[in-house]
Amino acid sequence: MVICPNCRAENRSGAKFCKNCATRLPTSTAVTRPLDLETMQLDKVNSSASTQNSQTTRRLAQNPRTDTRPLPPASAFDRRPLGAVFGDNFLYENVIFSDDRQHRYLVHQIDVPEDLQIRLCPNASCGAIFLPRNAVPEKFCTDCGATLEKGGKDLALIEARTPIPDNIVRLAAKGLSHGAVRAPLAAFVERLAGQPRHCVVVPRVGALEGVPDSMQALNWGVGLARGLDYLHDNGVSFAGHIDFSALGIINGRAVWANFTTCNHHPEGYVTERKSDAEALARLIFSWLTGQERLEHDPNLAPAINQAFERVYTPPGIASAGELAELFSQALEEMTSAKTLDYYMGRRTHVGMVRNLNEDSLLTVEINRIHQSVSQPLGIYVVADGMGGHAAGEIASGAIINAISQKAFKELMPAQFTKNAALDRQKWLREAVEEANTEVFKLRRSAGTDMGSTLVSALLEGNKAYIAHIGDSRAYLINSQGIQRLTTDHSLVERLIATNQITREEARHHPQRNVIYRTIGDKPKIDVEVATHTLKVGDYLLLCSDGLSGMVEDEAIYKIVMNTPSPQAACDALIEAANAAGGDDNISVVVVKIVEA
Amino acid sequence: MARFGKLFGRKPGEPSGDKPQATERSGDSARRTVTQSEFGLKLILENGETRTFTSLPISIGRAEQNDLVLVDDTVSANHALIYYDENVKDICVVDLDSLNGVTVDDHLTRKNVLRDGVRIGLGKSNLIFRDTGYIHPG
Repeated sequence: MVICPNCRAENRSGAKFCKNCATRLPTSTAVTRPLDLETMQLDKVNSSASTQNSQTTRRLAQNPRTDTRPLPPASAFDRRPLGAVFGDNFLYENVIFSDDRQHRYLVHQIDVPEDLQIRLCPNASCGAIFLPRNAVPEKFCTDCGATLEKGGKDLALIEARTPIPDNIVRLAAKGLSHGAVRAPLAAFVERLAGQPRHCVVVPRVGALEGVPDSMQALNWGVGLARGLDYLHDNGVSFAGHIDFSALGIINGRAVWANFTTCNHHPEGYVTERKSDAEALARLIFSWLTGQERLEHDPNLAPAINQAFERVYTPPGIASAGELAELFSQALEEMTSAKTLDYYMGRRTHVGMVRNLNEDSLLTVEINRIHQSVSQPLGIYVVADGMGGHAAGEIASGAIINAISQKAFKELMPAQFTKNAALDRQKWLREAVEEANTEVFKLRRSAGTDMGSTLVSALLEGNKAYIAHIGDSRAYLINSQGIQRLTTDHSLVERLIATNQITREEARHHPQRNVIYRTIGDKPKIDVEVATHTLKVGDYLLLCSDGLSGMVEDEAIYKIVMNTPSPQAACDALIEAANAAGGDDNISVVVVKIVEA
Repeated sequence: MARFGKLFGRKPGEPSGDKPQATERSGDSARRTVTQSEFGLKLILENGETRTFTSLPISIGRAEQNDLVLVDDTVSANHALIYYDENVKDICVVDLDSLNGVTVDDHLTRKNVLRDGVRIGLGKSNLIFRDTGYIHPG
């Protein structure tokens, strides 16, 4: 069980939210569940049954006339009449199915006092069911945190001649509550004319029909894997035998609903989780491919193949929780990255005043579109060299050479082997550091004071990693406005940050060109890499101070949003900077995020 | 489930103590059964005799202390009880672990809501239940 850090309430293991105060609970890893709690509950059931029996015998003993003549035993296993009350708790609504071995009824819980009510999570994507277990009813869903409501409707009651399997009785006694689990709610025996009737009450679920489509299968897989992990936490395992018959459909998604083949572990939790997790992975795989054997399938999206690869490549997965993570990652990758592509424009111009362009640009793009799934990768660099003739342009050129070489050596191959281990953020930081080392060496040997600013963006899917040094900038532009993604390493930005001058004053500050961090200045450099998430319709703009120093942010926003293409935007921006004076070299890269 | 035991194990009427003691019963049973009132709960016996009751619970069995005594050796001494169930919010019949069981409209049952006109079977005996305007005092 998990103790709530807020109110100290005891929650069952696997609960995510406190049942008492809805505080998010620390994740529980198979806490040893005290065995006595459960056996105690079973004992309670048994003892109540035995007291009932003793009462009967006492009543009969008190009455001297117990010589009732027995009727011939009713041979037919008859269904109940209209208005039957089962187990003093469930009222007959309808017969769903009936034969000579089993009757299935639609029932609902009668209007019992609050402490005996079945509670329900009203969240449609959860719908966990809570059995009464304490004097005070549980208030919040332990799976999603929603406020619980009165439940007990839409239940099925199965009445059979044969005894209920032990595992079902134990599960009903335990009371499992999870969004992806619809476990038995009650199990009891009633005697009608001396003949036992064995009853199980279960939440009503639909049958699984056909095969879900691939997105649905993955979505179900996430929920089922989480539910399986919860079942393991609570001592339920399928010993690796999982197929669709264990599942039911509720609100258009699959849940664990049939527990006849499950084992209930007396320790209260399952230690060997691998075989079930793998069996579930095989079931999902068979929905996706029609194949039973887990192997690379060229018809599957790379993200899905990658997830299953983790399952069948040793050491494999240890628990269903891991499987849920893998599936949700694959889903995220498929929904976010598959529709994106980049549409890029670039231009550099010497300006109206200078006669040497010291700026350098680098754009490297590679995209693999397979089965309409686009995996774009782009590297964009703007470097603004400084130090005059035979210095500035050499420095900025050295930067783009160093970065492009590193990209072709490391980043490109990784794009095809799908090397997930390659940390993009770290890669970009190293690339800038290596460029710095390169320029620093050149500066030493040439004896000049060459240097450069840099802004670089590494785009992959919907992720943008941005590093900058000096006063070259990156902007994010979309319908909501223009946002500066970088803070200049300049004196005036420092003054603004410490509230000494305003942003307006900074534009005309005499030392507005003074920057305190450049490439090539020192052998070691601090590089911060920021991460942003991009969506369709966003523009990423990289520029040197030849643009940002001449054209207001607001004007940049208008030009970008009102031009038909990223290239037209670049041309218009350079025109605007030149019209404003063109004091410095102007370089612009505009990347539009479009649907593939 | 653990909490359900409380409900499953309970015999309606008995713990609340509103069922009169058997010793008092035999003396004044005539008062309750011979009233030919227009209103109340009527139980029509197989011989055509109608018994009208204006209070609940009504115990039925072969033993003399019952509110309705059925002389039939397939009826248990304490066979069934008709009472108002607070949870169901309706008049119910419940089988008191009788040997031959209780049927409603010829289907075996343990506890059952009683609608006007249903046939209650106890052993070989049958009763027609008529609800002609019983008002629960609670």
